[in-house]
Amino acid sequence: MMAETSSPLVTVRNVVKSYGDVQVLKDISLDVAEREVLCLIGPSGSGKSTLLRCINYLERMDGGYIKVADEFAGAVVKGGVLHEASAAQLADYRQQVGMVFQHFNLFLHLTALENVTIGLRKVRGMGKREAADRGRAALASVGLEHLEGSYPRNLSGGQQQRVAIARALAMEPKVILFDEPTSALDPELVGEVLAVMRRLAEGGMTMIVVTHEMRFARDVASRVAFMDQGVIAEMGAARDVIDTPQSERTKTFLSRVG
Amino acid sequence: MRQVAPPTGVVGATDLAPTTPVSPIRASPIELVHNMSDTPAETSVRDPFAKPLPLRHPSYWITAVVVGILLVMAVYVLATNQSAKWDVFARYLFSPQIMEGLWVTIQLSVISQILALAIGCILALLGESKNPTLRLFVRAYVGFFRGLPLLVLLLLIFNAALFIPTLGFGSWSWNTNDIITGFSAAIIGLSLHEGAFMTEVIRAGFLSVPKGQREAAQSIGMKPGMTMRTIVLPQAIRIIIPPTGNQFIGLLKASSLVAVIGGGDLLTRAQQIYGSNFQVIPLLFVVSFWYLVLVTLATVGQHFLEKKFSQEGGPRKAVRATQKAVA
Repeated sequence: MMAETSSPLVTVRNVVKSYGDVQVLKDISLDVAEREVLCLIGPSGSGKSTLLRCINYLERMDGGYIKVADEFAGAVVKGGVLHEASAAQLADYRQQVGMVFQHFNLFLHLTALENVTIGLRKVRGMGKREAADRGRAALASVGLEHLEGSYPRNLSGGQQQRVAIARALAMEPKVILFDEPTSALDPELVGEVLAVMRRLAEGGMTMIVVTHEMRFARDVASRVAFMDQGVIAEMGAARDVIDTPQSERTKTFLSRVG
Repeated sequence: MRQVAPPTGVVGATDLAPTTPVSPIRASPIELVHNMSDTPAETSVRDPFAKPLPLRHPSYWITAVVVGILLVMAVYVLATNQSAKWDVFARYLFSPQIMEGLWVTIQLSVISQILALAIGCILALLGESKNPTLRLFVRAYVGFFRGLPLLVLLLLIFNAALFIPTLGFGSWSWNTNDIITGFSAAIIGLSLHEGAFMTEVIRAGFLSVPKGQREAAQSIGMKPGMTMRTIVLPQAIRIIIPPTGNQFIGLLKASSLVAVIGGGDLLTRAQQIYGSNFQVIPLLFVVSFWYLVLVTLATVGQHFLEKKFSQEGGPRKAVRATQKAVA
């Protein structure tokens, strides 16, 4: 399935996940190399977001494993066997996996700058000044340095999502997961968020993006995986999958999305 | 269907009047009605587009008169009643015994509320734990102390010596009767009881913080305890404050129950006085007066706190402001 020669940054192997009787992930395997951008597309309920949340271990999986760099999601190797991770080990694992949510989930009681620096201060134990410097740099990279004192409720959806991206960036993760980052935005605000993500991709950030923005997927992603009913129906170079889909299911989906 | 264009104003309408005979542009709301019968309205001096005249509310006046009469009757009955004895009321209102009782009531309420807040915080946090034993303990505590009537609980604690004669172990033990006085039993009973309610209030505050806030905190590598302290608690406070104020007012009044165990509060003192001079009603009026004063003060305080915590800048700024105010 994979053509990369170097060992992948993210490895997903035989991941299975059910909610009650409904199997939402059926034996998913994929790899993401460093500096690669993988877009997950597909109809709602196909398991894209669940897979993403498994990578950050916000969801437990029922089988299989996920590895980022050398660390396992929700597990540690002890004596050659996987053991469930403690809360502290899980927190360590998550520091290298950034996450951007559909509904931004900015900390509502903190300013834009504090949203970006709280992880540096509390998790990394960084000093106030150093954290603020790095926070401002992260905000500048999403073009919002002038709004550092604003509270989330005074920011537009697009601005909130850009702050959320800065918050993830500030922790210097190895990979950032985007869970439908533009789905909750007014149409005229989608562009500014996609532009930031495009710049990140060009800067070499490894990204896994669940999205319904086909043009973004086609132009920015290195590869696209089409998911349907808990399986990866088709995966390949972005333009190949979107312009000349092979699977019938992909064709039907893309014709509906337009 | 032809659209009737909204009139641009009275000046424009009169300007247009001679040249355009029945143009809809010059129609005012009044004219629109009158034109049906081809008689233009000329009597209206008032600008037809001015703010509408206020609706009259005769029922408001009727209600005010009825309630007013009832009030006068009530005052008359109270003032002329033979057993009210306002001179006795005035004599005891600021008497040293009543003042002592008032002070005890304030102490009981404030100390118990603070202890209950501590119990509530600790138990609500334990209730969030993944440890099933801790969660079960919290549920059992809340179930027990919320289920037991406060009066029964106070009597049980006051009479604890009957089934637990000594507290502690070895050389570190005390006679229960030395520890359990009316006052200490009151504090223990009120705190345990109120603690169960505060646990629920604080738990509801935690629940009010959206799940996404915790997920976001986890995603940047925060551990559960840190997530609680830095993300959930500061946002839950504004939800916790208003019901806590209500709880305190409830506690203030419920503290009168300690009169049955000789807690020494306002009601205890009043009962002691009317037990010897039989002026029951005037003394109960004294007690009522002071409870109403205390509750009114507490309500003002609650209003002030709520305003602080809902102000611009979010609860955290308010927390800082309150910390400054307290310091």
